[in-house]
Amino acid sequence: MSRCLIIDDDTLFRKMASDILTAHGFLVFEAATGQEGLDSFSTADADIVLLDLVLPDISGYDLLPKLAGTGGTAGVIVTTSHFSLDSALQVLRDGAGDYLPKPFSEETLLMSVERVLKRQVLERENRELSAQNARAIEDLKSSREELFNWSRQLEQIVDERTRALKQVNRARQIVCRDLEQSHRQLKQAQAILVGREKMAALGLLAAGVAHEINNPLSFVNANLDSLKQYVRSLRRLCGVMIHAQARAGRDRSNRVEHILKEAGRVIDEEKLREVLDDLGPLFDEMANGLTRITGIVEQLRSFAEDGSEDGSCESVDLNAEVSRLVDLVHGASAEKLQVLCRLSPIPYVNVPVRNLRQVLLNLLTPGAQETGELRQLILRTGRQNGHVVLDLLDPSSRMSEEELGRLFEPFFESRDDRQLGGLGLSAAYGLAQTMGGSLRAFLQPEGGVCIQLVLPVSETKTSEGE
Amino acid sequence: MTQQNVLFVDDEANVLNALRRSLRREEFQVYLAQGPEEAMDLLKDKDIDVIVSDHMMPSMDGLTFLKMVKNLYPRIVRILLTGHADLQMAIQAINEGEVSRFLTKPWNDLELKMTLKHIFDYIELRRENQILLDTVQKQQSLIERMEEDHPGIFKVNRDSTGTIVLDDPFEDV
Repeated sequence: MSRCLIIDDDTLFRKMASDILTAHGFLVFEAATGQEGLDSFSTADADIVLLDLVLPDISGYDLLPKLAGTGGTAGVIVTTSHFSLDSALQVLRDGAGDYLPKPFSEETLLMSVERVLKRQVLERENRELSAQNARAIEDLKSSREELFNWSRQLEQIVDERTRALKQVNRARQIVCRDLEQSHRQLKQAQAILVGREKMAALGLLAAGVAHEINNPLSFVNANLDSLKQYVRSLRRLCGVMIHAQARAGRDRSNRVEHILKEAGRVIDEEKLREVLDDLGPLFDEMANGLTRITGIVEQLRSFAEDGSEDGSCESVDLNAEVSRLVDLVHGASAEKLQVLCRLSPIPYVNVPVRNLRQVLLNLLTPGAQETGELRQLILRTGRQNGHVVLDLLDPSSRMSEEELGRLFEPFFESRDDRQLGGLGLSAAYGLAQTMGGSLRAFLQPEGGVCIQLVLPVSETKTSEGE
Repeated sequence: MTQQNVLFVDDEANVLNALRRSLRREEFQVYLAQGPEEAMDLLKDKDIDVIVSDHMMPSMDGLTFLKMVKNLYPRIVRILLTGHADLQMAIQAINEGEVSRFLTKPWNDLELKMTLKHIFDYIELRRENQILLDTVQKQQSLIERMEEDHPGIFKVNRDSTGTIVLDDPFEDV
């Protein structure tokens, strides 16, 4: 229920207004003077005040700011019998809710009260809303502050984390550098080891080569000295002839006889018949020695070559290569070596052809050594586990398991004289590996030895067999 | 000076031929054997003074062969000629008395000739020494025999002034 305070010195007006408002459900308080109105206002807690401008003690103009000002909760309707535009403007400016010139009808009063009350509700709501708004703003502010704090904390945490990460990262970088360094060191160590291995092989090789070369070198050398002696003897004979010819020009009759006599003496003294007979063998043996040295150097070169210079792979018909080589070998040493070919249809192999030829040649060369008897070897091609294999079978070899293990060592010589040293097989072993294949030797269950060359297959073509 | 004989042993015929050529104008007789077996046969027939052997031979190595020669014919001077110049082996071979010289391949012709010449000089000296020793021994036994037959025959008596005093052969008569 709304509460209404009527401040008016006119008793009749108070009675009339009070009746109207009470009839419309208001709880009405009345005050006859300004002072009375002020007192009642604070006790009555009025929602609405009807204020007369002309009061006996305090002017309505003076009272209005106190009513509208204090608390500001009540709506004040100013009533006056002396209507003027100026006074209306002033009271409205000072916070009055409405301005009613007297006399006014019942409806006018009710409508005014209604309007002021409604405005009051609106104002209250507005106040509450603005209070809520202020609270909300306050909340927002504090939230923002909190957020700001949080964000600062977060930034701090992020900073710390970043610092920690940076430290970890630095540590990682150091570890990484260490790793890189040890990797480099390992690589160097490996290079040194490889070098050492090479040096060891070279040392082994050099010792073998020195021995292999020394024999031919020594007899070629000695023969060269002998040849010098022979030439000296022959020059002496020539000298005698030239001298005799010059002298015989003046004494024609004795010419032939004299030359013959002189020459005969020199021939006997210098044993020139012997010398002439020996010249042929001497040159042959020297040539033989030099060929042997050349061969060893050639083998050495192919042994040292890692094959990578000309190592571009191509599709090669292994059967054709084998046939060609066997023909060559037969032409060169048919009385010492007989090679039977058993060639099956196989795919082309993917290898550098120069290396392949070298390996095949090195495999067959020991077989062509002088052993005083005809040797029979079998060359067999086929497929095994997706690779192409070439088997070189020596059915009459009597090599032991232990000897086989050393077969690919440089200058290895077997006890049965079938494998007579040299670099051939060890070079072939290295070459087979650079070709992506392998070379191994094993005893045959039915007796004899098999040297097996395994080669990578080329995708494209297939070779016919025999 | 008696005929001097040197025997070369090597499995490589070319080496033997080269050696024969090098030494063809030397005074000594050169024999060649292509391996220890052939050398042993030759040693039975010929009076060999010096053996020069290769070391690396397929049937038997040179040191073993020369050791055998030392046992069978201790007076033959033994030389090792090898392309496998292993210092350790050389020291061992000489210190153990298996060989008296150690030559390496490729050899120097002059060095080979000088070595052989020195050895033959030594052998000749040894031979002369032996002959002289034999002569001395022969004479010694002759003296002993004469002393036996005629006691005092080599005895010389001197007086205090050093004058030789001859016994009066007719003193007893």
